[in-house]
Amino acid sequence: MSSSNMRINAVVRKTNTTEVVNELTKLGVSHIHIATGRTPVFDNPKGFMRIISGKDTLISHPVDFISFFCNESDETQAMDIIFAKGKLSIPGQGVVYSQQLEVNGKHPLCEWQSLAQTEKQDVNYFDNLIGINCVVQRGHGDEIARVILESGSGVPTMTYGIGTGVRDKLGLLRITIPAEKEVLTLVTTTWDAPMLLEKMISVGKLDQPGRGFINTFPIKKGIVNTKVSSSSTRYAADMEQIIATLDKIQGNMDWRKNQSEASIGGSKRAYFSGKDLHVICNDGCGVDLVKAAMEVGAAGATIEKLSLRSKKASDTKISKAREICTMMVPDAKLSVIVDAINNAGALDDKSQAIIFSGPAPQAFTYLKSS
Amino acid sequence: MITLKQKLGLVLPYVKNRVIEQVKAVALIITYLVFFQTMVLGIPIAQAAVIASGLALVVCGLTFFMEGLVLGLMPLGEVIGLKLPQKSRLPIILVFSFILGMGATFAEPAISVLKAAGASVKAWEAPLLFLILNKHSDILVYSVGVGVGCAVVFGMMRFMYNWSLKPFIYGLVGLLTVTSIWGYFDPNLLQLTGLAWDCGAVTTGPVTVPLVLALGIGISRVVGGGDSESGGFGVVTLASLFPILTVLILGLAFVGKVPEPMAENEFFSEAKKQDVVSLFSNENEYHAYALQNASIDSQLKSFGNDEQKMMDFISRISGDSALKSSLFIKPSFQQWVNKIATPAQKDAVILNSDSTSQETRATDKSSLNIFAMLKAQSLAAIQAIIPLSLFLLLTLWLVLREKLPVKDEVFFGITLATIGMTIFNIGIELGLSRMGGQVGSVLPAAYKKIELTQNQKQIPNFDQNLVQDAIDGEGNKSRFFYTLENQAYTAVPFNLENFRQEDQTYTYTPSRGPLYGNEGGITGIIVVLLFAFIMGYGATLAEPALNALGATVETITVGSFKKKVLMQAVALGVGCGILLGVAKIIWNIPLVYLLAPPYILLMFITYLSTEEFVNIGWDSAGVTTGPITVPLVLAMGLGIGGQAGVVEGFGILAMASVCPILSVLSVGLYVTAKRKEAIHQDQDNKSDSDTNTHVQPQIQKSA
Repeated sequence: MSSSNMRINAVVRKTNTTEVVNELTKLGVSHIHIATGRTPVFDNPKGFMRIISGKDTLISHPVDFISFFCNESDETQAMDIIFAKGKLSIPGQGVVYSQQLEVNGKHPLCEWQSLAQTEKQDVNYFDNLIGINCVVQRGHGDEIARVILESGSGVPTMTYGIGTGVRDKLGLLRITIPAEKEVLTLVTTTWDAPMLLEKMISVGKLDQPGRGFINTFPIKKGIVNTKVSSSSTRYAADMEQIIATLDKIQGNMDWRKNQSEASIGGSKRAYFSGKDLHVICNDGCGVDLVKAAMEVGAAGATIEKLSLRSKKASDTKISKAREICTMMVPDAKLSVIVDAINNAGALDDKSQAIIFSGPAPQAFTYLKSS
Repeated sequence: MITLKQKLGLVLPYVKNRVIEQVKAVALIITYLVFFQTMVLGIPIAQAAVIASGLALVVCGLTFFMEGLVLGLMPLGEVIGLKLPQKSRLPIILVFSFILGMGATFAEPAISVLKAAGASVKAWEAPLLFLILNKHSDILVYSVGVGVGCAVVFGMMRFMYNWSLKPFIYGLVGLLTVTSIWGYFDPNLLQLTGLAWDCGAVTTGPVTVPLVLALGIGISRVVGGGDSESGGFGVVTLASLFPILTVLILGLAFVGKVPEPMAENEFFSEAKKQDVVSLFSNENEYHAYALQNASIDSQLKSFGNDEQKMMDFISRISGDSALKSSLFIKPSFQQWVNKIATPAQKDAVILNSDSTSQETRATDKSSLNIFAMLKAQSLAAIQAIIPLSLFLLLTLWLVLREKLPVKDEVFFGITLATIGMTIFNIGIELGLSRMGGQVGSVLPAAYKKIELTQNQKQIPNFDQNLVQDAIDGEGNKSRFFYTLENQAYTAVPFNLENFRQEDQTYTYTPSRGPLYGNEGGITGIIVVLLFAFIMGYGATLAEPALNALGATVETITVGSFKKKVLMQAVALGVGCGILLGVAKIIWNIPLVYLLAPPYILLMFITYLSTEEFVNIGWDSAGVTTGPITVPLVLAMGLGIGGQAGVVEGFGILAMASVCPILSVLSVGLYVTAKRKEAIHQDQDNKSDSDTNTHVQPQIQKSA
């Protein structure tokens, strides 16, 4: 019972969330999940503070991470709405992207319908993008965000999560290991990704035990956020706008390739690949589902809190307090793990879960050599 | 399985990190107090060893308590908040909220402090206050409980129906202002107003705040409508405001039944007796109160100037141990006989009492009994934490029929919190309160001359011939003598009253100050004000409830509002508030002049601020007055107040509540403006680029 579906993800400023959500529900989108997050960017550098600290300070804008499912035919439609209502034509306001995913199981209430058709908009989406997902201990996110911003290839979105894994095998002693994680999500171009992965791993020291986890995920199409600082300029347009405009004129970002490709060098990291498995369920149920998955071979999961927004009466049967469990599993074990999660009661009325997965072509973390 | 060594490898860094965190939290305030007393005032610390171990206990207790909050109480609150709206209907949620609010009040240790404060209120000076704090003290606690209960009910309804906090603030603060102004013209109500505002501050303690916050976060996650940013906050604000209202209402209910404040001898006169006895449970209590608190003249008056009647009364009590213990609590009857009673009254007692000597020994025990203290404090901690936790657990199991996730962690957390609170309170009593009391009592030495009563000395073999005469510039004569101390000769003023003829002993109290400038000079006062500011600032950073609030704010906003920023804003606010409060005492400024302008400004800023910051700002004001700030502030307030001849510590706490709201809301306005500025800039740029794209038409679209 697997099918191919579109999942639309967007990061918008908190001030625009309500409008985006209202417009999407008007269109017929159901089950919009929202996670609270922030986007760090370089602050307007003011002379004095800059001399003291020696580097640019980060300032965070509160944003909402919006995601929902729709049919493939409605993809552009839904993204256009977010682009317009989230004011994404302005650099720095957010990103929107779509993912093609396999749905491995869903509760009957998690069904979605086709959307009402509206006038098409003239938005330029790029198709050579890739997503990077990075989980680190809470408090270490900013240092990784800094290298991403310095490279100019994108602006990450940070959310909070809770990690499960080795920790839960320790009994009460687990309280000595902090479970709080910070999750960075970044949309960037396929040719910037290798360099970014390399930098993020080395800054986050992900090759050492207990530091964190990183993986890439494919993106069908979307736009990127390249406004890495909140500074104003003395020119008619700032560099981010020029880049955005050039992208728009070119219709793609291939013109940006030359500079970054040279810097990749030969990477000797032992990346592995697998499946990115997600379970969205009611708040509090995730721990048990993850436990079931771990018994049949999943390494651990990150659980993030979500809130469900929808206006339709039938949807109120689903709790508004939701959570998403994300785990990386080997290709071969996917079906076993999905079955285990199913058997643990994921699709009953208590959890009301939806299980979906997608490829994770490159992943990295500390692995015991034994 | 993991070895012991591996276990230690996990536990030690964990414990170390937690302890270091708390050491950092209290380091500023402690080093500051020590530095100030020894270096700035130049007075050594008495009982240094006891105080040092007390401070160590504070750190240790805080470590346990905070970890207990994070592991046990907060997850428990959040689970209930999540499950309650899913599993039960509105009436049940509201009943639960009300009981929780009431229960939290009874558990709050500070409430009993208020009751104890009733002992020092003189019945004739403040009849209404006396009545409510003594005869009706139960009703007072109930009315505070009802206030907090209503606050939690309204707080939960706010989450469910997405109401803004602002109308509540305008309404309640408006109502309270009107009532307080009305009270200003009735001497009985005026005194009650102070108590009412204090009740508001003490209800929001280190157990209630994190619990209510977690509960609110859970509930607003399930039912919350649009904006989840402010989810969970606001209940603390309501819990600070509603009890003020209920206590004032209680006062209004009783104000018609009590006599006006009057002089002591009028109070005990025959004409007033009818009115006055109604303040007491019965006539015996009235007489006993007179014996304990009034002058001998008034005592006689209360018995209708019939000395025989008074002696009969005393004899009757001394023969009846039940009466004795019910009428004489503090001081006990025996203490009263030893210290207060006149010789004639003593005779009336001794006539038919034979158990006195035994009781004397029982009552005069050493004051520092560590086991008694441990017992009392662990009882208080258990009382504060266990019934509430049990109520929550029972609700979860019996009403919601849900199991508790990570049960072992929650139970462990609750245990830690209880142990932590016990240790912490002992530490406060041994260390922080003493330290604060010492600094507070010698602090006025900065600007005026004070007597160091704790360093009092008795000089035996005193010879009056040593006393010499001196004369000042205006020809006034005074007498003094020299003492030899630390190889230095010091002149000490001579006062005949301090000389005891019988054993030729002179009692001499060393004095100090003014250390900076002249007597009452501005330099010294500035030193004191600066001290007040830094003390308020440092104590606030150590407050456990504020730390919990800050961590919650940071988590809810995913780090876009950092805990550090909130703590600094609140601490600066409290510092300023305490500075103004001390200024009020030194110059005796009427409280209304200091409270009215900030509140008016506050209403205006609240109107301008976003919902998110209004919730957080007002809530942080509610949590500032906690177990660390209050003893220090009270000690300092009493110290300065005592030296300045004013006995009202109330103003300081009120100022320490209003100023942090101002500072947090100001920070909020700044942050909001900055975010807006960034967006506006983007939009300005956007209009430029729009014109560009018109010139350059689009060429291509992706597939």
